[in-house]
Amino acid sequence: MSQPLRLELTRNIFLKRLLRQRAFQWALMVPMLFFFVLAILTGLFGTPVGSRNFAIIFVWIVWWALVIILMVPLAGRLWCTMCPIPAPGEWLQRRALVTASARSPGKRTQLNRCSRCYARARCVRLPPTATTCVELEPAASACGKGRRALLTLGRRWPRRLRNIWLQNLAFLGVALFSAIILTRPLATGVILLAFVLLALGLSLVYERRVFCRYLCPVGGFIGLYAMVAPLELRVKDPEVCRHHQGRECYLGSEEGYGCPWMVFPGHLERNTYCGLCTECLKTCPQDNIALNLRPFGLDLLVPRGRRLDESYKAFIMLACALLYSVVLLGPWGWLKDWANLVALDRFLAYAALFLGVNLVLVPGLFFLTTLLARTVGGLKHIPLRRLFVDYSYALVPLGLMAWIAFSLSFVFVNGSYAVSVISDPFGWGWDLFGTAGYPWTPYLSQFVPYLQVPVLILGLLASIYVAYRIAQEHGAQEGQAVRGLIPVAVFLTGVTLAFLRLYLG
Amino acid sequence: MTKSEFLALLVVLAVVILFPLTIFAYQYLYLPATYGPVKVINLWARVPQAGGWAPEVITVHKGDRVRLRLHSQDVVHGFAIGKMGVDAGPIYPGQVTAVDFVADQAGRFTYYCNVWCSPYHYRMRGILEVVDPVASQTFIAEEGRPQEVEAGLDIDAPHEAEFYPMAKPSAVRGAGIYVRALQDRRPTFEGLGERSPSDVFYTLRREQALGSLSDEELWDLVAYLWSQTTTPERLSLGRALYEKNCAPCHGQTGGGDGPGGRYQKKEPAAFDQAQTMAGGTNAIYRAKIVRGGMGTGMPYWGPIFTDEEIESLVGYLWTFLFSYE
Repeated sequence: MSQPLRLELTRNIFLKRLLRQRAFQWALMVPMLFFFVLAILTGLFGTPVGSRNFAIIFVWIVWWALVIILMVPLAGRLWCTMCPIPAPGEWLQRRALVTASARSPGKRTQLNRCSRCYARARCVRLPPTATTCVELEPAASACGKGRRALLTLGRRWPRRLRNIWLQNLAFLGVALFSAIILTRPLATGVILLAFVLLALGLSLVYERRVFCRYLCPVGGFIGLYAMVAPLELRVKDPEVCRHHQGRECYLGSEEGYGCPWMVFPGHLERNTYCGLCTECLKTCPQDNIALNLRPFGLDLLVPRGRRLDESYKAFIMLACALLYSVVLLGPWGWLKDWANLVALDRFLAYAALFLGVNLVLVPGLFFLTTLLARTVGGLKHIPLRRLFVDYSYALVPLGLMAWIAFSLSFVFVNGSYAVSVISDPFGWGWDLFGTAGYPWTPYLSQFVPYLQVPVLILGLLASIYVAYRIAQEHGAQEGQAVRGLIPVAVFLTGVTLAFLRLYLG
Repeated sequence: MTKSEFLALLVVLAVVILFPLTIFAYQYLYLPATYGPVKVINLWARVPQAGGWAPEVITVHKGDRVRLRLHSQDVVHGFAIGKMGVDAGPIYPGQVTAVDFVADQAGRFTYYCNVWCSPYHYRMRGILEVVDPVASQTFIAEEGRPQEVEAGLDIDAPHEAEFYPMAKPSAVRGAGIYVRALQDRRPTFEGLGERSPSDVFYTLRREQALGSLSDEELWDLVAYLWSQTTTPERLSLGRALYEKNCAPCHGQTGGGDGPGGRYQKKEPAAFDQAQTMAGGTNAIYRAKIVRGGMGTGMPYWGPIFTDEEIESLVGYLWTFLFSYE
């Protein structure tokens, strides 16, 4: 039974067939792998001049613009579908690129019928005649001793780390050094290589895609902002899943692998952790999984699953958008120098400021905002922490729009570098397509503020609306919801004004 | 392994292995093979404090046709080879600038950056060795000591003039005075530059025939005499050399106020200071250009400028004291 206000795209037979092809994801990944390899090579061996190096231009301008301006707002985690970083590890793990491994767990084990275990998906082995659920705690290590068909030790990610705190830290780490990473091709090449090697290493030790789920700094914010996107992958009818014993979507089958993101589609209510890999579309024997179009931002109104680590992701993304705008686009050259590691002591001061704003100032101000909202909105019966976490999701639309506004400024101004770089990606004097001499040309830069302002205003209005709905969600009466909204709206408006001041002067 | 799996694996291996190999084969095997008999040398430029030129020494054979592929890895640099007339123009960061020349003369030459790139710009030099495989001679034959040294000239001694103009003398006005006042006795200009303007002014001041001329008119006459020691072509060359190599420190108008001057140990000389300029001679300025400033930060240009270039530059320096237009 479909949710209202949804358009099921997989009703289209051609699209459905395409998504069910085993080679579908591979076909998306390979071109990205090509660009990825080129980015690493140019980063490591090409000119150190960022504006003439493929790694800088096509990663931090072209790719970033496509992801943050188009892919995430419109298609959520679509980038994760085609991201090449986990590809080598996953292919090695599966010992296959396009086929479902003949020795996937679905073949060698019988799927137990204990409904509790499906959600936790322990390594389960059943003797051929058994029918009861047998969980073998040592099974995980036993599986690691070569009994698993997959080329991996298959360890489970530590329970305490099954959140996005590591992703938050990873993003902060990259963001802190962004003045260096975003301008030095060598730094970019090393970072990309490190990511793919880390993902590969983790694939050989841990099950599925733990890098993507728990470590990738990009995946962290893509997952958060994917809640805004109108594209979703959901089960058509949860009742079908409830009565179905197979759980092929999670454990795999002859048709494909279990969800690499360790998500059980039957319980999927938000886009946050669904990587749109389409394995479940292939494996579900009930044809109960669909790709839908739905209104923007619906996931933000889903109360289940809201957590403090995701809240902090929202704070970090908003704070970083502000800091990036100040440091990278602002007129304060001394701040750029500090961020650029001109002197260690000044960089440390910058780091303290950067981390302080991200981890203390913005969350602290929002905490006070929540406290006030709780008081004036008559929500004192709601635990403060609960309200703090819930209200933080109201920052998501504004955060996304702030990143779009920030990205518009440098995309229009620096996008022309892509034309010359495509002919001479290494800066070695090539001219493959005759465009190496194309001069730097800012495109329509005078119109950028006219784009930034409506984008920010849209983000502000959307965030205020989400905050209002969250207040209502907690049972606030109409007047209470509005009163409780005011402090949050003031906070959001203050942040928006700060952005406008930076962009408009 | 199924057929589809095999094909998929082939494609991935092509992307991950074959593609990088193709790139490096294209760069290091194919492209060099297309250069033909030209000797291609890659030269990388960084600001001196980050390494300067790499390599710092280039060796070619006499007669080689050479193509230098110049890469800047940070800021805009320039490239020229002294005494060879090779100038590649600006080298933009991230782009490759190529300059071709024939190494037709054996010897040791200096290549240098001629676009202001950093406070240590003047240290950005390298050596081009042109080896004559027949004569086995690398170095230029030892020349005699500079004439200034032979003459015992102390080029570092202050040369404040006893007599100097209060306003900038005009060679145009001086030309009229020359015709009017020196109709019968027209001194030759030979050796004029080896004397200071102050000295010449003093000599003319003592001439009874010129007694009716005011000091300003006499200075105009001196300016005219100085203008005859050079030619418009040499002035043009001197101006170009000054603006490219000297102006960063000595200033566009010779005021010693160029932006590069603040990085030097001593404030650059101001050529528009009449009292100092009027006491100098061609020999002093020539020697300073050749030798450099000896701890002041002024680089030595002896290995870079030809004699004609130095003379042209010296001739141009006088335009800060005198007006020739």
